[in-house]
Amino acid sequence: MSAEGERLNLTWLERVQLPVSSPDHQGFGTSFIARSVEYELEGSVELAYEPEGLRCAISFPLNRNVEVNPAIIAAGNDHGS
Amino acid sequence: MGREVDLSGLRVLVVEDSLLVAEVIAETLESHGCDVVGPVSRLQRALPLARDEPLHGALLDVNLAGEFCFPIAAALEARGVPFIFLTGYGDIEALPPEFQTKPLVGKPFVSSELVGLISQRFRRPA
Repeated sequence: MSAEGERLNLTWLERVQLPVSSPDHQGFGTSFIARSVEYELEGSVELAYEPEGLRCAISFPLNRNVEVNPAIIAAGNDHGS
Repeated sequence: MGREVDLSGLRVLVVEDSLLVAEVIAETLESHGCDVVGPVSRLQRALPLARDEPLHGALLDVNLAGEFCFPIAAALEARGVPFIFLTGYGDIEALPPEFQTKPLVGKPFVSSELVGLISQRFRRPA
């Protein structure tokens, strides 16, 4: 819970067999997710390329974000981004 | 292509809640020499800019994540800063009487229409 009220905190974990490392460059999908959450939802995105797989933490305030942006949910479910 | 419209020296506030639309608008304006203030996505972020920033004009998305932009329009009107509404489907009915004669551009918009309107309506630097 943040000082300003309730937040949605979403953590997306991918666990894979092969070791994972950070990519050399950030693709459009990755930067779009981060920019969208920051710009449209006034939230934050943290991406960590852990050896076991990707961890993506998305957090944004529910206050003034009455309708959750369906694109963010879809992006969280999209393995290709 | 015709002669490129030159918007050099114009400081334009962009208020638009969709990231992709905001970025396209900012890039379009900057490619014509505009100095873009923002873009910002929310009423609360736009109001201080509308009150205090030196501006030649503003583009205002009517619906900002469920809030109307009209307080921003009122602040700009009080300063004599011209603005253009960006409207999605159904937004036109929401315009209050005092703003019904203001210029508007429907979304999706044609770049040349938006740039042409800015060139016509926004105060040129002295």
